[in-house]
Amino acid sequence: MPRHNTLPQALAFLFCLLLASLVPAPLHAAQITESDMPPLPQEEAEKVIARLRLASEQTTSMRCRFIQEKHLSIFARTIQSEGILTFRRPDALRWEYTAPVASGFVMQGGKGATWSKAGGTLHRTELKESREFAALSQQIMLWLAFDEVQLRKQYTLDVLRASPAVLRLVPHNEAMRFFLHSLTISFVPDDSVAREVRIQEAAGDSTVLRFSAPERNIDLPDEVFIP
Amino acid sequence: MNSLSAQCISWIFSKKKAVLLFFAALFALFGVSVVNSPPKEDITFFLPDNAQLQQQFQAFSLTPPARLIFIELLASSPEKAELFGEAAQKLRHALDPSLFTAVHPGRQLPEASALMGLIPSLMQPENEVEFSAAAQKVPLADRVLHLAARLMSHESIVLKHFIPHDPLGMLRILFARFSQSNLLGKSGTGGAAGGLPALGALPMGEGLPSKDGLARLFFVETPNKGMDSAQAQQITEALEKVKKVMPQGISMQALSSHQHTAANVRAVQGDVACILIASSLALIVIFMIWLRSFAALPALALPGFALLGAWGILTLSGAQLSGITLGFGGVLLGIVDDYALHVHCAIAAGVAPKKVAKTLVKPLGFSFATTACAASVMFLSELPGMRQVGLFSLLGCAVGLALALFILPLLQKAKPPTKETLSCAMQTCEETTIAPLPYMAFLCCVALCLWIGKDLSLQGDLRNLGVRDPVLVQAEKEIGSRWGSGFRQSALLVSTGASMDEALTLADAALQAVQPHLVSKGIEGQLISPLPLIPPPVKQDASRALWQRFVAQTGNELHRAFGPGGQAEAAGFAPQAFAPFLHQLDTPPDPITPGSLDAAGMGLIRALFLPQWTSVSGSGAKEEKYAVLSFLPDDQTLQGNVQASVPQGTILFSPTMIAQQISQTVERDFAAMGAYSLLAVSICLFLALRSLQGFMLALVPPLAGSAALLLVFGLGKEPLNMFTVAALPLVIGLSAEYGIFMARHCAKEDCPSTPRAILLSGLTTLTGFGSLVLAVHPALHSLGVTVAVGIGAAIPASLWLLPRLAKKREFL
Repeated sequence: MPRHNTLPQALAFLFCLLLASLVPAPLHAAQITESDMPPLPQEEAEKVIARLRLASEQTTSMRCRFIQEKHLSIFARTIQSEGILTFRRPDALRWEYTAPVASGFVMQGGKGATWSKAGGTLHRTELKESREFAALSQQIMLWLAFDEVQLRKQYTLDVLRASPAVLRLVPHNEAMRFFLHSLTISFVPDDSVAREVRIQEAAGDSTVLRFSAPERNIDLPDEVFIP
Repeated sequence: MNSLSAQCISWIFSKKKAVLLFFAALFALFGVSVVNSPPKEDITFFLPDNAQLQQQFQAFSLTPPARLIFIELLASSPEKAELFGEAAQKLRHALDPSLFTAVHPGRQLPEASALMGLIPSLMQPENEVEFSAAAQKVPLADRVLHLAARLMSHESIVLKHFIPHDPLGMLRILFARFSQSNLLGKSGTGGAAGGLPALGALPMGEGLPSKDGLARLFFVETPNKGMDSAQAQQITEALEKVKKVMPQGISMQALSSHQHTAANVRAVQGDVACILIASSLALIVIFMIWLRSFAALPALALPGFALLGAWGILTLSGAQLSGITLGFGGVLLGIVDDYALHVHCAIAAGVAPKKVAKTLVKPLGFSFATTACAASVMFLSELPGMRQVGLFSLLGCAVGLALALFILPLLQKAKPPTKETLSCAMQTCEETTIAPLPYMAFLCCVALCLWIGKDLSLQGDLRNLGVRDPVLVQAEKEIGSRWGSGFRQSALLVSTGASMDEALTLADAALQAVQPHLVSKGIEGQLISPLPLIPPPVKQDASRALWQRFVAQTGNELHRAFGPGGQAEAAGFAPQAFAPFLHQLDTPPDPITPGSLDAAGMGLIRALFLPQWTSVSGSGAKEEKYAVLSFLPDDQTLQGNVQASVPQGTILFSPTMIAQQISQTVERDFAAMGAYSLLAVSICLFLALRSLQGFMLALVPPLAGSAALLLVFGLGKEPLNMFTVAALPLVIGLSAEYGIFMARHCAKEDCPSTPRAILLSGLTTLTGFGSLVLAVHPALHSLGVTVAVGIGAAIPASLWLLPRLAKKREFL
């Protein structure tokens, strides 16, 4: 099977999709089972996408908790982690794992860093050293702004259910598809936030993110986003 | 001579139809041979006779800019950079596989196992120390936890493809070597990002990234030859089509030798159209003003037949005519039309067609002799192209003279003799004297021009002798600023061998030989070479020995940490998660070959640095070789010690050195050709006129033409090039013809139609071939400037100055 690239876009794709769903989420998470459903007719789908865009535009900042489950063949069991996500328009983001290992990344205005305290040692890397993360930040901001035009250029947007909305995104780019098969986002009934994101990788691995304790349109100090 | 020509013309007139038929058939044959053997653009025509230089130039064809097409994608804003993936995909789909055989970097993500397969052959003692320390129990425990943490994050989507093969992060060795190869110059190479160290340093499918992230670079292979105009045009058109499929916000620019060739072809075609229109209009005006007779048409057409004759003879003899040589046909036509116009004017003035050969054979014969002597001087040149121009000119003039004397009269009707014609026939030679003071003043002016032109600069860089399309120049500048202009402005070391191992060993020896030079100039960091990524066999063997020692010392600990039941499994990893890495530890490593670089997704290295080369020896024998290319900063200091230190089997190609050698040759040729042609012409003039004063007068037009050239080039600071040099003897020869005719005219040896014939032939030369000044192509333009200035000065010198330097002033 031919292997297609590309690393930066794949990473960017992953994160932009994650963050697309991270307008504040409800506490009650439910298992998504809609990913295999047939998409709704186009006319109905357009109405749902317009609704989601409108809801996204009404969020200027947010903070929420998340629980992440990774099903990777490299691991013997499902790996669970948790953390906090913080976002402020137009370009500030903090993605922080609090358990089992403190790690994460932060970015603001194109600058940023990643860190990890695995084994008690702090590993820190500036984002400017990585074009992967540079590309990623652009994608994230694109998604948080819900730039529908750009999104449609890069992904096929399928609406699997109208209410509560379920959106499936499939990358156009064959290189991206090497890493990612699809991403399914389930929203809460009022469309304001996503409640769950399922990332289905091409190799069969998957990641599920469940969001909780959302706080919308809050004041977030700059220090939160300092790399 | 006169009686022989009279017999010839008498015989020709008696067999008029047969002779015309014969010539028609002969020129039809020339036409066919010319059509079947179009001129060829081969820059080696203009390389001095020097086996070493020729071989160096062969090596030049191996440079990436000569072989590959550089394609750059540009994002109009940082936001648009996300479209590079889509643009790269469209680019690959739009490139016709029959024209574009490979695109680098390839679309494949580098294979982790293949990349790791390169590590044993790259290992250095410091790497062994570093990774042996990392392979101890405590650091390994920390490492395992760190990997697990990273795999919990978003990075897992990519990391999971690499970590099972490289849990220790040994690929850093490869990335460091990649940076050391200097391949990307100033471009960006992504970095560690807390993820895989510098994965971004590797070529990725969406192209090599620039430092600012707003550009991507691709290298495309093609079987089409850059110097072949038709194939170059095909590539250029195909690239233009690809540009149109780019998504909005992404633009594309390409650079290749094909585009330069196509630009030159377009320029020459445009020039030819422009020149033909301009010169045709001018000739029509001249025709309407001075000739106003259809009888003059054969005379106007004759130079074209002379050109066809010379071209036909050369192609029938098996010679490959250079396009530039043919361009000199312009000057040739300018010379030959003199013969035709003299014959036409003489007949128009009443000389019987049957007698015109007898009347004009002497002046035209001497005229031909002067041109032939001037052209023969070109045989002394070290440049084969220059010698071909000389032969071509000689043949053209000979054919032109024969046609003018023996065929043209057949096509002209006799006119009643005028009084002047009768007196002309009865005149005898009178001694002409020169006016000493005006002549001294003239010589002073010539000396002044000589002084002004003594510091003429010389243009030896062959790249400046072609058209530099502004769009391509701009693209070259922009791409150079983003990626470095290493390949274009570097000297090249080509090490060749019967096997790749041999070539790599030679390349390593060559780099060691030039290292002291680079260190002394502080430019060792600018070396571009594949050797850090594919070292010579000896060094690879040494690295593999280090790897095996590393495995022997740490293998057990690594198996315990990453194998089933080890620390990795305790941290949550699957028992077989690191099986690929452990398998590599247990497997004897293979050497790095071009094939293993391809397999690792680094075919770009092979495409850029490891081409196969068909070398052609002096005897023409071809030999397939493996080549390794390295690039180093080019400057004049490479000549001498550095060049001598390069081991046998390695060629040092330095554009600066070649330009220098060509400049020296052009300089020698300019001085020698100027001097020799003036000497040769002087001898002819003296023999023709057999009078010192007449000779001195006849020398006025060539001296004036040469002085004007020195003045214009000296004041204008326009550098001399080989085309100027090649045109110089012809300008001298042509000017000398005017001198002969006018000196004889002053001495009343010649017909009164002479000034008119000179004026007409001068004007036709100027308008027809001086119009080359309008040409965009530098070669044609140089030629035009030389002809326009030289002949432009020689005409007034002949018609106005020369009579005034003589004591008899009965002209015009």
